[in-house]
This record gives sequence, structure tokens and C-alpha cells, in this order.
Amino acid sequence: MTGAANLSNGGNNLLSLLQITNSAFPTGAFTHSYGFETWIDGRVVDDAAEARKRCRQWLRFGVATGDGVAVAIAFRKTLYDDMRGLAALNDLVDALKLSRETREASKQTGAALLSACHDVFDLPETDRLSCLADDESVRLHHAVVYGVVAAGLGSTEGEAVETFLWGGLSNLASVIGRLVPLGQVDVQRIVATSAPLIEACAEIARSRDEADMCSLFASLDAASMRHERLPTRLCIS
Amino acid sequence: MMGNAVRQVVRPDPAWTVGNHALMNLRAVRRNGRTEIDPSNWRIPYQWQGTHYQDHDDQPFLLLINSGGGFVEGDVAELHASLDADTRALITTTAASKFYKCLDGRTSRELVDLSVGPGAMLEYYPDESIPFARSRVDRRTHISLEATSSLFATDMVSAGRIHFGSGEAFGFDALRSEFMVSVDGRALVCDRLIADSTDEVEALRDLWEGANHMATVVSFASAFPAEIEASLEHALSGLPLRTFGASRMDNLVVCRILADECWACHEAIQAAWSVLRPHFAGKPARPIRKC
Repeated sequence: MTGAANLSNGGNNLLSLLQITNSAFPTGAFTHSYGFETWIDGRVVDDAAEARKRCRQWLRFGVATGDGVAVAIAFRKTLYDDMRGLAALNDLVDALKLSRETREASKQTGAALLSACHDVFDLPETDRLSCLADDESVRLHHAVVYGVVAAGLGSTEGEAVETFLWGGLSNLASVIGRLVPLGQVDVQRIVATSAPLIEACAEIARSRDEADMCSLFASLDAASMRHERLPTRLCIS
Repeated sequence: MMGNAVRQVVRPDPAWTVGNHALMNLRAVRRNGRTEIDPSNWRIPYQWQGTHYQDHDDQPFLLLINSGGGFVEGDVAELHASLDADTRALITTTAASKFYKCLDGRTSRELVDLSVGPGAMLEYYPDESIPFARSRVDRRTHISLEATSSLFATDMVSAGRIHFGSGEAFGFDALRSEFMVSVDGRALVCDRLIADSTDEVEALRDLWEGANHMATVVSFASAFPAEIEASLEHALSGLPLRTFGASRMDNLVVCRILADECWACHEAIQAAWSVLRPHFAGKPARPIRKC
């Protein structure tokens, strides 16, 4: 744990994680649907039940086995100051995202999170990560930056992964709620009823290594690709 | 002379049981004004029966023959191929890779490792893989490119024997499928599917939007025109597909296809090839003769 991290939120690491997962934290996550907008446009997702089902599938079969794993690994590599390993992990996260918008969304969010955390928390871990990002060929993904920041803030690996999963679900549910549209209560129910799933997903994410990172959500890949050419779009991805 | 290091030829391990571990080592070279493919060694059930020049030019078409007919529990097949600089070749298969039931819990493996030199062009266009009910499958396709290489590669996985009896889609016990393309040693695409728990296998039907077949098309070249991804989606839009999409990232094009019927998935891959091939190979796609 760094001295700077101790000062953040009075040294309460959980509060710091709550801060960076809050939708008001300037990462731009609220502008990404990761392909869900294509489904909503085609009325494949048009009510709370379908939204809930697909959000949970996205979390379990996309994030838990993909970005969630990357958060846990980035967290560990930060503790060992393994910058080369972080760069390799970032390449793999990039390669696992098959559509341009999903890749861009993750990199834009990653850059914004890194920048905001640098300004707000001033962590040595993010300083070192920024040096990596100085290489023009390296654009850091959200999950990688999140793992580094969480380690820098002195959280536990479990907290890092669980808050990442919760933040992702919360943001996606809010985006879907605006697009369908759903009532605010419906959106909050999606989040509130997912606690056991988030816990299970965190276990999955923390028990996998890089060789087992994957996404099973092939239809979402296609939806994300088609989103590039939707005539009317409210979300970036 | 290859820009990338010439690969070590993989030798058979004496411990391998004859007939259970197929091996093929290939090298594509420039010779006699064309590309020729040399098999440095092979081991049954892979068979070497030469190449064809179906485009009537300098590019050989190789039909990879696995005479075993399918993967019995624990079977392994390894294909290793390297393309020298400025060569071009098409590699396909004569039939689908069928993975039979693995009741003793052993895994069947199909390993493909392809290396493409500078200025070289590879078309890797195999038939689909079919994991039968109760099978345990590990299939990995790794393609290494250089920045000046060109590639068209496909990977198609079926949910099982769809029209067998009352159907046995998603009846396999475990499936690991990895389709990875790297450029200059850096991962560019990693399409990895790991379903080795009951909830993962059961979820696939939903995650594939009800489709029985999933295909990924990856192409890498320096000369794709603007809006190539829109052209791809237009070409696929008239086919009976469950869903599909195409995306471009600089020199990379990726296409995801989900279909109910195997033939529709094949048609979609062929349609994608028709759109892309003129740009990376300078010639039109063609029906591939397989016999």
C-alpha cells in the first residue's frame, strides 16, 4: 500500500473502490452498451426480464471469464511490479475482443480511468502504468487499469474483482434502462438480485489464468459488430 | 529464405501409439516459379496426397486428409506448416473433424500451428469441427503472421450432430476451442471458447442465439478498401443466418457468423471469402474441388 493510497478516502480502501465504480467517476462507461443497443434496436431486448437475463449472461459468460480474469491478474502483476506481464496481458485482453467498438470502448474507458485516477489519487502504480501507455502502440484496457488501480489503492484482490463486476453490471443495466427504456426500479432490481452471481463470477475470475480467458457470448460479438452500422445510435458501442 | 525463423520440424514421439496421433509437417517454398509444398514428414492417420493448382496459377491447394475419419477418445492430430517469404498457399480439409464420445474422460485434441513468412499469403479454410455427444475436445489453431503477410482463415464449430436421430446439439462434455492469430509475435485475435462445465455447455444455445453452428472469419491484409465490413454484412444479409456481423480494425477484418444449418454457415463463409479474396489475393473466390 502506498502513502498516497492511505490518504485517499481516509485510508478506507472500500470507499475508494466505491468512488471509482460510481457512474459519476469520469470514465465514460455510461456511454457503452457493448452491442446491447443493437438488440434493443431490433427489439430482441425490450423488457426488464430479457434485459436481466442477458445482463446476467454477459456477466457470467463474458466478463467473469474475460475482463474479470484480467482484473485479478493485473492486480497480482502490480504487486510484483511486472510491467512486461501487464503489457502482455493487455495484448491478450485486446485480442479477445473481436469487434472494433468493444475494443475501443475498453481502451477509451481504460485511458479515462487511468487519467482520472492519476489526477485524483496520484498513485505510483498508475504513474508506472502511464509510462507503459507512453508507447504509442499500447492502449490500456479498462480491466488492466482497474486491476492496477485497485492494487495501488490497497484493496484486496477479491474486492477488486467483485467491485469491477458490480460496476460493469451496474453501468450496463443503467445504459439498457435508458435505451429500452426501463423504469429505474427495474434497473436497480437487476443489480440488486445479482449479488450471488457476482460472488460466483468473482470466484470464476480469480481461479482462471491467462490461458483460460475467453468469452462465450458469440451473439453479442455479432451484435457489437452490427452496432457500427446502426442508423441511429445513442451509445458509442 | 524466410523472414521468420524456419521452424523446427516436429518429430513423432516414440511413445505415441500408431494410429492415435496424426502428425503432418509442411513447408511451402518458392520453386519453379510457383509455390510448392513439401511434406517433411507425416504420420497416419494424416495422409499426403500432393497438392492441386485449382486457380491455375502459382498457388497450391492442399486438401488435408485425416484417414482416421474422426477422433476417437484420446486421439491427437497435429498439423505444422510454415510458408516461406512470398509464397502463397491454400490449406483446407476433405471433411469435417468429428470428435467421438470420450466415456473414459480422456480428451481428443486437434492442434494446428501455421507460420506465414513476410510477403506470404495463407488461406486456411478447413471444414467444421463436430463435437459428438459426450465428447471431450481440445482444438487449437495458432497462426503466426509477419506485418507484411496476408491471411484469410476460418474456424467453424458445430454444436454436435444436429440431424442425427432426434439431434444431439450441445451434448458434448467439454469443449475448448482456440483460434489465435498473431502478428510479429503479438496476439491480434484470440477467439477462445471454453465450455467445460454443465452450466457453460447448457448456456451456449442461448449465447449462440439458438444457432447450431458458429463460424469466425479472420482476414489480415494491407489493402482492404474502406467500408469492407459493410460489404461483408451486405453479402451475408441475404443468407438464412441466425445472426452475423463484421468489423474492421486497421488491417484486420473479423466476421462472426451464427447459423441453424451447416450449409448456411458454409455459404456465409464462402460469401465472405468472395468479398475479401480480391483484396488480399488479387483474384476471385472459387468453389474448392474436394475430390
